[in-house]
Amino acid sequence: MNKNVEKKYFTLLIISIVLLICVVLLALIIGRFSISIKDVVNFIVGKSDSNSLNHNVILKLRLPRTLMALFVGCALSLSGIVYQETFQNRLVSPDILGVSSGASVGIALGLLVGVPVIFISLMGFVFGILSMISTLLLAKVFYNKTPMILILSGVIVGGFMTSILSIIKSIANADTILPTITYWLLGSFDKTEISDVFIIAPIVVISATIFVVIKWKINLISLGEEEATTKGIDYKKYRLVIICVATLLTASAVAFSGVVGWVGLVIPQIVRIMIGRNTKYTIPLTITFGALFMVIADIISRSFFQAEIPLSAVTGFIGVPIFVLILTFKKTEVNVRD
Amino acid sequence: MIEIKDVTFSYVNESRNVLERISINVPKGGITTVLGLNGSGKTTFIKLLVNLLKPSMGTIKVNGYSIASMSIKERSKMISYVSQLTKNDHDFIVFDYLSFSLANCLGGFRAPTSKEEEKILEYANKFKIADLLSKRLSNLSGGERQIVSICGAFIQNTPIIVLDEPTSALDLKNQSIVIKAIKEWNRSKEKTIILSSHNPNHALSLGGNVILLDDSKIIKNGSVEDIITVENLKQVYGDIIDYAKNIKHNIIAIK
Repeated sequence: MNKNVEKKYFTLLIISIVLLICVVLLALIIGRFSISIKDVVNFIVGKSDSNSLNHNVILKLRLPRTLMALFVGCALSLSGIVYQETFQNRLVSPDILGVSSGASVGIALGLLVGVPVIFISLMGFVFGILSMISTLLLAKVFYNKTPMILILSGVIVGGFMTSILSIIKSIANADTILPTITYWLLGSFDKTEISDVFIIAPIVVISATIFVVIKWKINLISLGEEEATTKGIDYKKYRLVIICVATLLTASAVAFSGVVGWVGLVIPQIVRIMIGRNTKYTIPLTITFGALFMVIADIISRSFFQAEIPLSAVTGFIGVPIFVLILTFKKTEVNVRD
Repeated sequence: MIEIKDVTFSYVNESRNVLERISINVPKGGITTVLGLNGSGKTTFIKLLVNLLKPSMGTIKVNGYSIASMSIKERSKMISYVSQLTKNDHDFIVFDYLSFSLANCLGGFRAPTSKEEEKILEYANKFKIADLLSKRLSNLSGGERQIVSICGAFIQNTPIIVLDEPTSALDLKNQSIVIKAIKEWNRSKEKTIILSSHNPNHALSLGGNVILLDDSKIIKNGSVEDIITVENLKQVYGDIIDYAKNIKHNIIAIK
Protein backbone atom coordinates (compact mmCIF):
# COMPACT_ATOMS: atom_id res chain seq x y z
CA MET A 1 0.00 0.00 0.00
CA ASN A 2 2.65 2.46 1.07
CA LYS A 3 5.32 0.91 -1.16
CA ASN A 4 4.82 3.40 -4.00
CA VAL A 5 5.00 6.41 -1.71
CA GLU A 6 8.08 5.00 -0.03
CA LYS A 7 9.78 4.46 -3.39
CA LYS A 8 8.92 7.99 -4.47
CA TYR A 9 10.19 9.33 -1.15
CA PHE A 10 13.59 7.67 -1.45
CA THR A 11 13.90 8.75 -5.08
CA LEU A 12 13.15 12.38 -4.18
CA LEU A 13 15.50 12.24 -1.20
CA ILE A 14 18.39 10.92 -3.29
CA ILE A 15 17.71 13.38 -6.13
CA SER A 16 17.62 16.31 -3.73
CA ILE A 17 20.84 15.26 -1.99
CA VAL A 18 22.65 14.84 -5.32
CA LEU A 19 21.32 18.20 -6.52
CA LEU A 20 22.37 19.80 -3.24
CA ILE A 21 25.93 18.53 -3.63
CA CYS A 22 26.04 19.80 -7.24
CA VAL A 23 24.63 23.20 -6.27
CA VAL A 24 27.10 23.57 -3.38
CA LEU A 25 29.98 22.85 -5.77
CA LEU A 26 28.49 25.29 -8.25
CA ALA A 27 28.25 27.89 -5.48
CA LEU A 28 32.01 27.57 -4.92
CA ILE A 29 32.69 28.06 -8.64
CA ILE A 30 30.21 30.83 -9.50
CA GLY A 31 30.87 34.41 -8.54
CA ARG A 32 32.29 37.66 -9.77
CA PHE A 33 35.80 36.28 -9.27
CA SER A 34 36.04 33.28 -11.57
CA ILE A 35 37.29 30.02 -10.15
CA SER A 36 37.63 26.87 -12.25
CA ILE A 37 36.17 23.45 -11.47
CA LYS A 38 39.73 22.18 -11.23
CA ASP A 39 40.55 24.68 -8.48
CA VAL A 40 37.47 23.64 -6.51
CA VAL A 41 38.32 19.95 -6.87
CA ASN A 42 41.89 20.66 -5.75
CA PHE A 43 40.53 22.60 -2.78
CA ILE A 44 38.24 19.73 -1.77
CA VAL A 45 40.95 17.08 -1.98
CA GLY A 46 43.32 19.38 -0.11
CA LYS A 47 45.76 19.89 -2.96
CA SER A 48 45.31 23.61 -3.50
CA ASP A 49 47.97 26.10 -2.55
CA SER A 50 46.88 27.65 0.74
CA ASN A 51 48.47 30.98 -0.21
CA SER A 52 46.75 31.27 -3.57
CA LEU A 53 43.95 33.75 -4.13
CA ASN A 54 41.61 31.01 -5.36
CA HIS A 55 42.12 29.00 -2.21
CA ASN A 56 41.38 32.00 0.00
CA VAL A 57 38.31 33.10 -1.97
CA ILE A 58 36.84 29.62 -1.55
CA LEU A 59 37.84 29.16 2.09
CA LYS A 60 37.12 32.64 3.44
CA LEU A 61 34.29 33.87 1.24
CA ARG A 62 32.36 31.26 -0.71
CA LEU A 63 32.50 28.19 1.53
CA PRO A 64 31.29 29.95 4.72
CA ARG A 65 28.39 31.71 3.01
CA THR A 66 27.37 28.62 1.05
CA LEU A 67 27.36 26.47 4.18
CA MET A 68 25.51 29.20 6.05
CA ALA A 69 22.91 29.33 3.25
CA LEU A 70 22.55 25.57 3.49
CA PHE A 71 21.97 25.60 7.26
CA VAL A 72 19.68 28.66 7.21
CA GLY A 73 17.63 27.03 4.42
CA CYS A 74 17.26 23.87 6.52
CA ALA A 75 16.40 25.87 9.63
CA LEU A 76 13.72 28.09 8.09
CA SER A 77 11.95 25.47 6.01
CA LEU A 78 12.02 22.94 8.85
CA SER A 79 10.63 25.37 11.40
CA GLY A 80 8.05 26.41 8.77
CA ILE A 81 6.71 22.90 8.29
CA VAL A 82 6.60 21.96 11.97
CA TYR A 83 4.83 25.23 12.87
CA GLN A 84 2.33 24.62 10.06
CA GLU A 85 1.60 21.09 11.26
CA THR A 86 1.41 22.07 14.93
CA PHE A 87 -0.83 25.09 14.37
CA GLN A 88 -2.89 23.22 11.77
CA ASN A 89 -2.51 26.07 9.35
CA ARG A 90 -0.66 25.90 6.04
CA LEU A 91 -0.11 29.64 5.86
CA VAL A 92 1.92 29.88 9.04
CA SER A 93 5.56 30.90 8.58
CA PRO A 94 8.55 30.64 10.95
CA ASP A 95 8.16 34.19 12.25
CA ILE A 96 4.65 33.43 13.51
CA LEU A 97 5.50 33.63 17.21
CA GLY A 98 7.19 37.02 16.91
CA VAL A 99 10.62 35.36 16.78
CA SER A 100 11.91 37.17 13.69
CA SER A 101 10.79 40.60 14.90
CA GLY A 102 12.36 39.93 18.30
CA ALA A 103 15.63 38.83 16.74
CA SER A 104 15.59 41.93 14.51
CA VAL A 105 15.29 44.14 17.61
CA GLY A 106 18.25 42.33 19.18
CA ILE A 107 20.39 42.83 16.08
CA ALA A 108 19.39 46.49 15.67
CA LEU A 109 20.07 47.16 19.34
CA GLY A 110 23.45 45.45 19.07
CA LEU A 111 24.40 47.62 16.08
CA LEU A 112 23.09 50.77 17.80
CA VAL A 113 25.07 50.20 20.99
CA GLY A 114 28.08 49.10 18.97
CA VAL A 115 28.76 45.69 20.48
CA PRO A 116 31.39 43.53 18.73
CA VAL A 117 30.10 41.79 15.58
CA ILE A 118 30.24 38.33 17.12
CA PHE A 119 27.78 39.38 19.83
CA ILE A 120 25.30 40.92 17.41
CA SER A 121 24.08 37.51 16.24
CA LEU A 122 23.96 36.37 19.84
CA MET A 123 21.78 39.36 20.75
CA GLY A 124 19.47 38.56 17.84
CA PHE A 125 19.22 35.01 19.08
CA VAL A 126 18.51 35.98 22.70
CA PHE A 127 15.85 38.53 21.72
CA GLY A 128 14.23 36.00 19.38
CA ILE A 129 13.91 33.49 22.22
CA LEU A 130 12.65 36.22 24.61
CA SER A 131 9.92 37.13 22.10
CA MET A 132 8.82 33.52 21.88
CA ILE A 133 8.65 33.28 25.68
CA SER A 134 6.59 36.52 25.78
CA THR A 135 4.23 35.03 23.18
CA LEU A 136 3.78 31.84 25.22
CA LEU A 137 3.16 33.82 28.42
CA LEU A 138 0.72 36.17 26.68
CA ALA A 139 -1.24 33.20 25.31
CA LYS A 140 -1.57 31.89 28.86
CA VAL A 141 -3.06 35.19 30.02
CA PHE A 142 -5.86 34.89 27.45
CA TYR A 143 -6.97 31.57 28.93
CA ASN A 144 -7.94 30.06 25.63
CA LYS A 145 -6.59 26.74 24.50
CA THR A 146 -6.99 26.97 20.73
CA PRO A 147 -3.83 27.10 18.59
CA MET A 148 -5.20 30.33 17.12
CA ILE A 149 -4.60 32.19 20.38
CA LEU A 150 -0.86 31.47 20.15
CA ILE A 151 -0.80 32.87 16.62
CA LEU A 152 -2.70 35.95 17.81
CA SER A 153 -0.25 36.40 20.71
CA GLY A 154 2.59 36.09 18.18
CA VAL A 155 1.07 38.86 16.09
CA ILE A 156 0.79 41.08 19.18
CA VAL A 157 4.37 40.46 20.33
CA GLY A 158 5.63 40.81 16.73
CA GLY A 159 3.82 44.13 16.39
CA PHE A 160 5.29 45.40 19.64
CA MET A 161 8.79 44.37 18.55
CA THR A 162 8.33 46.14 15.22
CA SER A 163 7.48 49.32 17.14
CA ILE A 164 10.67 49.01 19.18
CA LEU A 165 12.61 48.44 15.96
CA SER A 166 11.15 51.66 14.52
CA ILE A 167 12.26 53.58 17.61
CA ILE A 168 15.78 52.15 17.39
CA LYS A 169 15.94 53.07 13.69
CA SER A 170 14.70 56.59 14.37
CA ILE A 171 17.40 57.29 16.96
CA ALA A 172 20.19 55.54 14.99
CA ASN A 173 22.71 57.72 13.16
CA ALA A 174 21.20 58.14 9.69
CA ASP A 175 24.59 58.13 7.92
CA THR A 176 26.37 55.26 9.61
CA ILE A 177 24.26 52.94 11.77
CA LEU A 178 20.86 53.14 10.08
CA PRO A 179 22.07 51.81 6.69
CA THR A 180 23.89 48.98 8.48
CA ILE A 181 20.75 47.99 10.42
CA THR A 182 18.61 48.15 7.29
CA TYR A 183 21.04 46.16 5.19
CA TRP A 184 21.57 43.52 7.89
CA LEU A 185 17.84 43.00 8.34
CA LEU A 186 17.23 42.68 4.60
CA GLY A 187 19.08 39.41 4.78
CA SER A 188 22.50 38.54 3.46
CA PHE A 189 25.30 36.04 3.92
CA ASP A 190 28.08 38.39 2.87
CA LYS A 191 29.39 38.93 6.39
CA THR A 192 29.42 35.23 7.19
CA GLU A 193 32.63 33.84 8.59
CA ILE A 194 33.51 30.21 9.07
CA SER A 195 33.25 30.69 12.87
CA ASP A 196 29.54 31.57 12.42
CA VAL A 197 29.05 28.30 10.56
CA PHE A 198 30.56 26.43 13.49
CA ILE A 199 27.94 28.02 15.77
CA ILE A 200 24.86 27.45 13.62
CA ALA A 201 25.81 23.98 12.35
CA PRO A 202 25.39 22.09 15.65
CA ILE A 203 22.12 23.93 16.39
CA VAL A 204 20.63 22.97 13.01
CA VAL A 205 22.03 19.42 13.04
CA ILE A 206 20.73 18.66 16.55
CA SER A 207 17.33 20.28 15.92
CA ALA A 208 16.93 18.51 12.58
CA THR A 209 17.85 15.21 14.24
CA ILE A 210 15.15 15.75 16.87
CA PHE A 211 12.53 16.41 14.18
CA VAL A 212 13.65 13.44 12.09
CA VAL A 213 13.38 11.18 15.16
CA ILE A 214 9.82 12.33 15.98
CA LYS A 215 8.77 12.83 12.34
CA TRP A 216 5.95 10.28 12.41
CA LYS A 217 4.53 11.53 15.69
CA ILE A 218 4.25 15.07 14.29
CA ASN A 219 1.39 13.64 12.18
CA LEU A 220 -0.55 12.96 15.36
CA ILE A 221 0.18 16.44 16.75
CA SER A 222 -1.28 17.90 13.54
CA LEU A 223 -4.60 16.18 14.35
CA GLY A 224 -5.05 18.54 17.31
CA GLU A 225 -5.09 18.01 21.07
CA GLU A 226 -8.24 15.86 21.37
CA GLU A 227 -7.35 13.26 18.77
CA ALA A 228 -3.66 13.15 19.62
CA THR A 229 -4.31 12.68 23.35
CA THR A 230 -6.95 10.00 22.91
CA LYS A 231 -4.64 8.15 20.51
CA GLY A 232 -2.02 7.98 23.26
CA ILE A 233 0.25 10.96 22.52
CA ASP A 234 1.33 13.46 25.17
CA TYR A 235 0.23 16.42 23.03
CA LYS A 236 1.30 19.23 25.36
CA LYS A 237 4.79 17.85 25.84
CA TYR A 238 5.33 17.29 22.13
CA ARG A 239 3.95 20.70 21.22
CA LEU A 240 6.24 22.43 23.69
CA VAL A 241 9.30 20.58 22.38
CA ILE A 242 8.33 21.32 18.76
CA ILE A 243 7.75 25.03 19.41
CA CYS A 244 10.98 25.44 21.40
CA VAL A 245 13.17 23.63 18.87
CA ALA A 246 11.54 25.43 15.91
CA THR A 247 12.03 28.76 17.66
CA LEU A 248 15.68 27.93 18.26
CA LEU A 249 16.04 27.26 14.52
CA THR A 250 14.26 30.47 13.49
CA ALA A 251 16.14 32.63 15.98
CA SER A 252 19.52 31.29 14.87
CA ALA A 253 18.65 31.73 11.20
CA VAL A 254 17.58 35.35 11.69
CA ALA A 255 20.56 36.04 13.92
CA PHE A 256 23.02 35.02 11.21
CA SER A 257 21.25 35.97 7.99
CA GLY A 258 18.66 38.64 8.80
CA VAL A 259 14.97 38.24 8.03
CA VAL A 260 14.61 35.97 5.02
CA GLY A 261 10.99 35.46 4.02
CA TRP A 262 9.13 32.87 1.95
CA VAL A 263 11.41 29.86 2.48
CA GLY A 264 9.48 28.52 5.47
CA LEU A 265 6.20 29.04 3.69
CA VAL A 266 6.95 27.79 0.18
CA ILE A 267 9.24 24.79 0.69
CA PRO A 268 6.79 22.81 2.88
CA GLN A 269 4.05 23.43 0.28
CA ILE A 270 6.23 22.19 -2.57
CA VAL A 271 7.25 19.12 -0.60
CA ARG A 272 3.61 18.29 0.25
CA ILE A 273 2.64 18.52 -3.40
CA MET A 274 5.41 16.09 -4.28
CA ILE A 275 4.92 13.47 -1.55
CA GLY A 276 1.65 14.14 0.29
CA ARG A 277 0.89 15.02 3.85
CA ASN A 278 2.60 12.33 5.94
CA THR A 279 5.33 14.00 8.03
CA LYS A 280 7.29 10.75 8.00
CA TYR A 281 8.25 11.78 4.44
CA THR A 282 7.80 15.56 4.43
CA ILE A 283 10.18 16.35 7.30
CA PRO A 284 13.36 14.86 5.74
CA LEU A 285 12.49 16.22 2.28
CA THR A 286 11.87 19.70 3.69
CA ILE A 287 15.42 19.65 5.09
CA THR A 288 17.07 18.81 1.76
CA PHE A 289 14.84 21.00 -0.42
CA GLY A 290 15.06 23.93 2.00
CA ALA A 291 18.87 23.79 1.88
CA LEU A 292 18.81 23.45 -1.91
CA PHE A 293 16.50 26.46 -2.33
CA MET A 294 18.60 28.70 -0.11
CA VAL A 295 21.95 27.84 -1.70
CA ILE A 296 20.45 28.64 -5.12
CA ALA A 297 18.97 31.89 -3.74
CA ASP A 298 22.41 32.88 -2.42
CA ILE A 299 24.08 32.16 -5.77
CA ILE A 300 21.49 34.38 -7.47
CA SER A 301 21.82 37.13 -4.86
CA ARG A 302 25.55 37.55 -5.45
CA SER A 303 26.04 36.68 -9.10
CA PHE A 304 23.71 38.65 -11.30
CA PHE A 305 24.43 42.27 -10.48
CA GLN A 306 27.42 44.30 -9.50
CA ALA A 307 25.97 44.82 -6.03
CA GLU A 308 24.43 42.00 -3.99
CA ILE A 309 20.67 41.68 -4.09
CA PRO A 310 19.17 41.29 -0.59
CA LEU A 311 18.23 37.66 0.12
CA SER A 312 14.64 38.53 0.94
CA ALA A 313 14.24 40.06 -2.49
CA VAL A 314 15.58 36.90 -4.16
CA THR A 315 13.48 34.49 -2.09
CA GLY A 316 10.48 36.75 -2.68
CA PHE A 317 11.04 36.81 -6.45
CA ILE A 318 11.24 33.01 -6.51
CA GLY A 319 8.76 32.33 -3.70
CA VAL A 320 5.87 34.59 -4.70
CA PRO A 321 5.31 33.11 -8.19
CA ILE A 322 5.62 29.57 -6.82
CA PHE A 323 3.11 30.37 -4.09
CA VAL A 324 0.66 31.93 -6.54
CA LEU A 325 0.96 28.85 -8.77
CA ILE A 326 0.30 26.55 -5.83
CA LEU A 327 -2.76 28.53 -4.78
CA THR A 328 -4.08 28.61 -8.33
CA PHE A 329 -3.61 25.01 -9.37
CA LYS A 330 -3.75 23.11 -6.12
CA LYS A 331 -6.66 24.63 -4.27
CA THR A 332 -7.22 21.51 -2.22
CA GLU A 333 -3.61 21.45 -1.09
CA VAL A 334 -3.80 24.75 0.75
CA ASN A 335 -6.33 24.21 3.42
CA VAL A 336 -6.69 27.31 5.56
CA ARG A 337 -8.14 26.45 8.90
CA ASP A 338 -9.33 28.23 12.02
CA MET B 1 -17.13 -1.64 34.08
CA ILE B 2 -17.41 2.17 34.01
CA GLU B 3 -18.35 3.67 37.32
CA ILE B 4 -19.32 7.34 37.42
CA LYS B 5 -19.81 8.69 40.90
CA ASP B 6 -21.17 12.09 41.91
CA VAL B 7 -19.65 13.83 38.92
CA THR B 8 -20.23 17.55 38.63
CA PHE B 9 -18.71 19.68 35.90
CA SER B 10 -18.61 23.40 35.30
CA TYR B 11 -16.31 25.49 33.12
CA VAL B 12 -13.88 27.79 34.90
CA ASN B 13 -15.36 31.26 35.44
CA GLU B 14 -18.90 29.95 34.92
CA SER B 15 -21.23 29.45 37.83
CA ARG B 16 -23.69 27.14 36.01
CA ASN B 17 -22.99 23.41 36.26
CA VAL B 18 -23.01 21.70 32.85
CA LEU B 19 -23.46 18.38 34.64
CA GLU B 20 -24.67 18.03 38.18
CA ARG B 21 -24.02 15.10 40.52
CA ILE B 22 -24.15 12.40 37.87
CA SER B 23 -23.87 8.84 39.16
CA ILE B 24 -24.22 5.82 36.93
CA ASN B 25 -22.63 2.46 36.15
CA VAL B 26 -22.18 1.45 32.54
CA PRO B 27 -22.08 -2.35 32.22
CA LYS B 28 -19.48 -4.21 30.20
CA GLY B 29 -20.32 -5.07 26.57
CA GLY B 30 -23.11 -3.69 24.47
CA ILE B 31 -24.13 -0.22 23.47
CA THR B 32 -25.23 2.69 25.64
CA THR B 33 -26.78 5.75 24.02
CA VAL B 34 -26.68 9.08 25.83
CA LEU B 35 -29.80 10.96 24.71
CA GLY B 36 -30.66 14.59 25.23
CA LEU B 37 -31.27 17.95 23.62
CA ASN B 38 -28.53 20.33 22.52
CA GLY B 39 -26.99 21.84 25.62
CA SER B 40 -28.16 19.03 27.91
CA GLY B 41 -24.55 18.06 28.66
CA LYS B 42 -24.09 15.10 26.27
CA THR B 43 -20.78 16.20 24.80
CA THR B 44 -19.47 17.17 28.24
CA PHE B 45 -20.47 13.73 29.53
CA ILE B 46 -18.63 12.03 26.63
CA LYS B 47 -15.52 14.20 27.05
CA LEU B 48 -15.39 13.45 30.77
CA LEU B 49 -15.37 9.73 29.95
CA VAL B 50 -12.19 10.13 27.88
CA ASN B 51 -10.63 12.62 30.31
CA LEU B 52 -10.60 15.44 27.74
CA LEU B 53 -12.45 17.34 30.46
CA LYS B 54 -11.87 16.76 34.14
CA PRO B 55 -14.73 16.64 36.65
CA SER B 56 -15.00 19.59 39.06
CA MET B 57 -16.12 17.02 41.61
CA GLY B 58 -16.61 13.26 41.68
CA THR B 59 -14.74 10.32 40.12
CA ILE B 60 -14.84 8.20 36.98
CA LYS B 61 -13.41 4.72 37.25
CA VAL B 62 -12.85 1.99 34.67
CA ASN B 63 -12.45 -1.53 36.06
CA GLY B 64 -11.86 0.05 39.47
CA TYR B 65 -9.09 2.43 38.33
CA SER B 66 -9.62 6.19 38.19
CA ILE B 67 -9.17 7.39 34.59
CA ALA B 68 -7.68 10.68 35.80
CA SER B 69 -4.75 8.88 37.41
CA MET B 70 -3.97 6.74 34.35
CA SER B 71 -1.16 7.87 32.05
CA ILE B 72 -2.15 9.12 28.57
CA LYS B 73 -0.87 5.88 27.06
CA GLU B 74 -2.65 3.64 29.57
CA ARG B 75 -5.90 5.51 28.94
CA SER B 76 -5.49 5.22 25.17
CA LYS B 77 -5.21 1.45 25.58
CA MET B 78 -8.47 1.42 27.54
CA ILE B 79 -10.73 3.93 25.77
CA SER B 80 -10.79 5.13 22.18
CA TYR B 81 -12.67 8.22 21.09
CA VAL B 82 -14.42 9.34 17.92
CA SER B 83 -15.10 13.07 17.81
CA GLN B 84 -17.94 14.88 16.08
CA LEU B 85 -17.56 15.30 12.36
CA THR B 86 -16.09 18.75 11.86
CA LYS B 87 -15.40 20.85 8.82
CA ASN B 88 -11.67 21.09 9.43
CA ASP B 89 -10.86 17.92 7.61
CA HIS B 90 -7.36 16.55 7.53
CA ASP B 91 -6.17 15.68 4.07
CA PHE B 92 -4.26 12.60 5.08
CA ILE B 93 -4.53 9.43 3.02
CA VAL B 94 -7.04 7.12 4.76
CA PHE B 95 -4.38 4.41 5.21
CA ASP B 96 -1.98 6.86 6.92
CA TYR B 97 -4.79 8.21 9.09
CA LEU B 98 -5.75 4.72 10.26
CA SER B 99 -2.11 3.95 11.04
CA PHE B 100 -2.21 6.72 13.69
CA SER B 101 -4.56 4.51 15.71
CA LEU B 102 -1.63 2.14 16.23
CA ALA B 103 0.34 4.84 18.12
CA ASN B 104 -0.80 3.63 21.54
CA CYS B 105 1.01 0.31 21.16
CA LEU B 106 4.27 1.66 19.72
CA GLY B 107 7.29 2.22 21.92
CA GLY B 108 9.59 5.21 21.47
CA PHE B 109 9.09 7.55 18.55
CA ARG B 110 8.87 5.04 15.73
CA ALA B 111 6.25 4.61 13.04
CA PRO B 112 4.41 1.28 12.74
CA THR B 113 6.21 -1.43 10.75
CA SER B 114 4.59 -2.91 7.65
CA LYS B 115 3.77 -6.01 9.69
CA GLU B 116 1.94 -3.89 12.26
CA GLU B 117 0.18 -2.08 9.44
CA GLU B 118 -1.36 -5.37 8.26
CA LYS B 119 -3.94 -4.83 10.98
CA ILE B 120 -5.19 -1.79 9.04
CA LEU B 121 -5.91 -3.93 5.96
CA GLU B 122 -7.60 -6.55 8.11
CA TYR B 123 -9.97 -4.03 9.69
CA ALA B 124 -10.52 -2.12 6.44
CA ASN B 125 -11.74 -5.37 4.88
CA LYS B 126 -13.93 -6.09 7.87
CA PHE B 127 -15.45 -2.60 7.71
CA LYS B 128 -15.73 -2.79 3.91
CA ILE B 129 -13.64 0.35 3.36
CA ALA B 130 -10.64 -1.27 1.64
CA ASP B 131 -11.40 0.71 -1.52
CA LEU B 132 -11.09 3.99 0.43
CA LEU B 133 -7.60 3.30 1.79
CA SER B 134 -5.72 5.22 -0.91
CA LYS B 135 -8.14 8.17 -0.98
CA ARG B 136 -7.69 11.45 0.83
CA LEU B 137 -9.85 11.96 3.93
CA SER B 138 -10.98 15.32 2.59
CA ASN B 139 -12.42 13.63 -0.52
CA LEU B 140 -14.70 11.26 1.44
CA SER B 141 -18.38 11.79 2.10
CA GLY B 142 -19.43 12.55 5.67
CA GLY B 143 -20.67 9.00 6.19
CA GLU B 144 -17.47 7.42 4.83
CA ARG B 145 -15.43 9.79 6.96
CA GLN B 146 -17.22 8.71 10.13
CA ILE B 147 -16.93 5.01 9.25
CA VAL B 148 -13.17 5.52 8.80
CA SER B 149 -12.96 7.21 12.23
CA ILE B 150 -14.91 4.38 13.86
CA CYS B 151 -12.71 1.82 12.09
CA GLY B 152 -9.74 3.69 13.60
CA ALA B 153 -11.27 3.31 17.05
CA PHE B 154 -11.50 -0.47 16.51
CA ILE B 155 -7.89 -0.60 15.26
CA GLN B 156 -6.86 1.17 18.47
CA ASN B 157 -8.02 -2.05 20.08
CA THR B 158 -9.54 -0.76 23.30
CA PRO B 159 -12.29 -2.48 25.31
CA ILE B 160 -14.28 0.78 25.40
CA ILE B 161 -15.20 3.02 22.45
CA VAL B 162 -16.73 6.44 23.07
CA LEU B 163 -18.37 8.36 20.22
CA ASP B 164 -19.49 11.97 20.39
CA GLU B 165 -22.58 12.39 18.20
CA PRO B 166 -21.28 10.18 15.39
CA THR B 167 -24.29 11.06 13.23
CA SER B 168 -24.32 14.82 13.64
CA ALA B 169 -23.77 16.71 10.38
CA LEU B 170 -24.82 13.63 8.39
CA ASP B 171 -27.86 13.33 6.12
CA LEU B 172 -30.51 10.70 6.84
CA LYS B 173 -29.00 8.06 4.58
CA ASN B 174 -25.52 8.43 6.07
CA GLN B 175 -26.97 8.47 9.61
CA SER B 176 -28.55 5.12 8.90
CA ILE B 177 -25.30 3.73 7.41
CA VAL B 178 -23.29 4.75 10.50
CA ILE B 179 -25.89 3.49 13.01
CA LYS B 180 -26.24 0.15 11.21
CA ALA B 181 -22.48 -0.19 11.06
CA ILE B 182 -21.99 0.42 14.79
CA LYS B 183 -24.66 -2.18 15.55
CA GLU B 184 -23.27 -4.69 13.10
CA TRP B 185 -19.65 -4.44 14.26
CA ASN B 186 -20.56 -4.94 17.86
CA ARG B 187 -22.85 -7.89 17.36
CA SER B 188 -20.55 -10.04 19.49
CA LYS B 189 -20.71 -7.38 22.24
CA GLU B 190 -16.96 -7.63 22.73
CA LYS B 191 -16.68 -3.84 23.02
CA THR B 192 -18.42 -1.46 25.37
CA ILE B 193 -19.71 1.33 23.15
CA ILE B 194 -21.02 4.63 24.49
CA LEU B 195 -22.33 7.24 22.09
CA SER B 196 -24.28 10.44 22.33
CA SER B 197 -27.18 11.43 20.11
CA HIS B 198 -30.12 13.80 20.13
CA ASN B 199 -32.28 11.42 18.11
CA PRO B 200 -34.24 8.77 20.09
CA ASN B 201 -34.58 6.72 16.89
CA HIS B 202 -30.87 6.00 17.02
CA ALA B 203 -31.26 4.51 20.49
CA LEU B 204 -34.20 2.43 19.29
CA SER B 205 -32.24 1.20 16.32
CA LEU B 206 -29.12 0.39 18.35
CA GLY B 207 -30.86 -1.31 21.27
CA GLY B 208 -28.91 -1.77 24.51
CA ASN B 209 -29.11 0.89 27.18
CA VAL B 210 -30.11 4.53 27.24
CA ILE B 211 -29.11 7.40 29.50
CA LEU B 212 -31.60 10.24 29.26
CA LEU B 213 -29.99 13.60 30.02
CA ASP B 214 -31.93 16.77 30.60
CA ASP B 215 -30.88 20.07 32.10
CA SER B 216 -27.53 18.82 33.41
CA LYS B 217 -28.97 15.73 35.12
CA ILE B 218 -29.64 12.09 34.30
CA ILE B 219 -33.41 11.83 34.45
CA LYS B 220 -33.70 8.16 33.46
CA ASN B 221 -31.46 5.27 32.57
CA GLY B 222 -32.01 1.64 31.73
CA SER B 223 -32.78 -0.57 28.74
CA VAL B 224 -34.14 0.98 25.54
CA GLU B 225 -37.47 -0.75 26.03
CA ASP B 226 -37.91 0.72 29.49
CA ILE B 227 -36.66 4.22 28.79
CA ILE B 228 -37.94 5.12 25.34
CA THR B 229 -41.52 5.72 26.28
CA VAL B 230 -43.86 8.56 25.39
CA GLU B 231 -43.88 9.87 28.97
CA ASN B 232 -40.10 9.86 29.35
CA LEU B 233 -39.46 11.43 25.98
CA LYS B 234 -42.06 14.13 26.54
CA GLN B 235 -40.17 15.10 29.67
CA VAL B 236 -37.13 15.89 27.54
CA TYR B 237 -38.43 16.80 24.12
CA GLY B 238 -41.78 18.31 25.12
CA ASP B 239 -45.03 17.87 23.30
CA ILE B 240 -43.55 17.70 19.81
CA ILE B 241 -42.85 13.99 20.11
CA ASP B 242 -45.28 11.41 18.77
CA TYR B 243 -44.73 7.72 19.22
CA ALA B 244 -45.90 5.90 16.12
CA LYS B 245 -46.53 2.44 17.46
CA ASN B 246 -48.48 1.27 14.48
CA ILE B 247 -45.41 1.21 12.28
CA LYS B 248 -43.61 -2.12 12.08
CA HIS B 249 -40.44 -0.71 13.59
CA ASN B 250 -40.91 1.73 16.37
CA ILE B 251 -40.20 5.23 15.17
CA ILE B 252 -40.32 8.46 17.08
CA ALA B 253 -41.87 11.11 14.88
CA ILE B 254 -42.11 14.86 15.11
CA LYS B 255 -45.69 16.04 15.31
